[in-house]
Amino acid sequence: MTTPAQPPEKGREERPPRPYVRMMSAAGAIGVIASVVAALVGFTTDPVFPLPEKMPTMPSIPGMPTSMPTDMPTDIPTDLPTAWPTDFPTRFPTNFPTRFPTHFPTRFPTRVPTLPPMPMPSHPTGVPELPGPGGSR
Amino acid sequence: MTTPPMPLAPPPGPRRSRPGLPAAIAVAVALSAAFAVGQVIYWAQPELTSPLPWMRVFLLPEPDVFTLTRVLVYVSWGVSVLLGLLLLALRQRGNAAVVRSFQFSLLAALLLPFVVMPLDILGSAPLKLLICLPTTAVALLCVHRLQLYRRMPAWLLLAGFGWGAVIGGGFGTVMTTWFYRYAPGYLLDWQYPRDTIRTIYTVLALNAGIASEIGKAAGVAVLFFLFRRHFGGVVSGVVIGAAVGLGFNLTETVNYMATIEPGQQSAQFWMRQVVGLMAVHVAFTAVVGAGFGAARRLPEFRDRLLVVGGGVLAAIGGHFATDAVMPQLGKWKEDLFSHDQTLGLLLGAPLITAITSGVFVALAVLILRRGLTAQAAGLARALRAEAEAGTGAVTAPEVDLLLAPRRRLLLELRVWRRDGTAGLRHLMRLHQAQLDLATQRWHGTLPGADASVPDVRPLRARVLELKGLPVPPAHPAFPSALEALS
Repeated sequence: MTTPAQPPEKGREERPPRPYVRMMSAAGAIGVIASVVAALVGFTTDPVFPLPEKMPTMPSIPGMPTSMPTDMPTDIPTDLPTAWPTDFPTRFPTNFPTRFPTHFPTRFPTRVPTLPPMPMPSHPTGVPELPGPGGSR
Repeated sequence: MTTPPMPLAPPPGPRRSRPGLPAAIAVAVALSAAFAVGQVIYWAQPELTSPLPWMRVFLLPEPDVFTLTRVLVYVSWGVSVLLGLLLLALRQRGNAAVVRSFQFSLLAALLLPFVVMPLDILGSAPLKLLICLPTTAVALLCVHRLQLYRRMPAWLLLAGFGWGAVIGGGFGTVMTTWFYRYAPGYLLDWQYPRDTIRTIYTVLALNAGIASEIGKAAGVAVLFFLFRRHFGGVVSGVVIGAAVGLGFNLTETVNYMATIEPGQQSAQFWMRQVVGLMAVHVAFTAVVGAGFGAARRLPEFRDRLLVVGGGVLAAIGGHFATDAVMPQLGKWKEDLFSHDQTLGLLLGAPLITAITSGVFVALAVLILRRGLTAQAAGLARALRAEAEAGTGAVTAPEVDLLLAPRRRLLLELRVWRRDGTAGLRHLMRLHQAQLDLATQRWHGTLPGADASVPDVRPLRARVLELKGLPVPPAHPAFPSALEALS
């Protein structure tokens, strides 16, 4: 005597076969794990190749010099200027008045004494200008 | 209880039609969009001011060949827009042949600019290319012979190989060049130069992985959409993916051999054209192809997306891991074999290749084995049903022969010795026609069968013609399965 076939459970329909879905999902997971390992190795270790010793040349910009200037201007002064004035007074003047009134004067003087003229040095001439951004050309 | 016999004709009802050429064009548009994204990121990058002199390596002028590629891409966009507008107008009143020719022109316009850089690489080192061709040709033949039963046409494999060599390689090279030009502006942090170097070179490896694998996967996708009829399952996908990977590997090998110092060229050939020839790129893209082949048999869109996405993720992860980990392993190898460099090449190179891409090689082999087993089982049912139908296309003794690759090979050798090349070619054509008939008959009964599965009647007629048997006149309709059983 055979048992009758059981009807399918309510809500469970037969799904068509899905070959390779699990296998390719596992392949994707392996790829993700490999990426994580690569990121860990990359961010925690230094690159193994040495940095280049000989640097490539910079790209040229029109109007700009391709290298630092080698000819510096020759008329730049090598020491401080010597044509400074030399006749500065060595002492303060001594002909200031020595008698001062003891009481407030009733008559004010009509002539106010003036200081002797002081010789001032003029602005030094002949200092050359430094080369601008365009170089010495 | 016996299994019901396979019907002679596919199950009744219309099959779903899948987009072919429009989907291939969409893939080409996606590649152009990726190029445009690279251009925009470059334009938007912060200005690079480097206090460190060695960072000038990222400030080199744009290579001429990259400038040419960029100009051609812009021109191709203009041409594509024009062709697209003409296509919209022609769809209403043009005939199908003219519309198809415009669609192919649009596809070519979008893809051709990417061939400039690989052609420059291959053309500027012709001797190195010639040296690499024999090993690559042998590998391509081996890939073709992986198909133990029905084989795809050789031109399809060559098309995949060509994509990998010029278009896939070109897309990867172009996107890596973009990265070199915009990455320093975003990633350089002068307060932490050591971390900066690590970040740049790790992200460079990630970018190379993504760009190269997307470029190769696009090739598998375009061939899948254009020639879906030939993609029977994972075996077809693995084989096409492997062919694309071989082409990419060829261009990459020539590039490295041309740019590396002369003393290391032979080592590069050994590592890329001998040790890593059937590993690395072949394995990565074979897994991608397996995803597309598996998608062929899945009716639900979500499942198709899952298998293709899984394959692409595996390839990107494998490439990223290889680029990031292999230099460190190379340094370890040099330390280990510092006393004998020859031993380091002979033993160390295979060892580090196995560590970095061995898992993916094993995965591709596993998928291929499972696919061949399923293919053998499906073909056995279809061949027996064809023999029982009594059409004459397949007889009972031929069933066992067609299902035994080794016996077929021995027979081919015997026929070659007796009848020469002409006899061998005829025999191979007959066997392939019989296997193709059985394959399409089997595919027509599967759940994912779509409109690209051809009618078996012309295939049967072809087999009868090759056997020299009379071809019966075309019947209006085959009897249904119930009528055949009664």
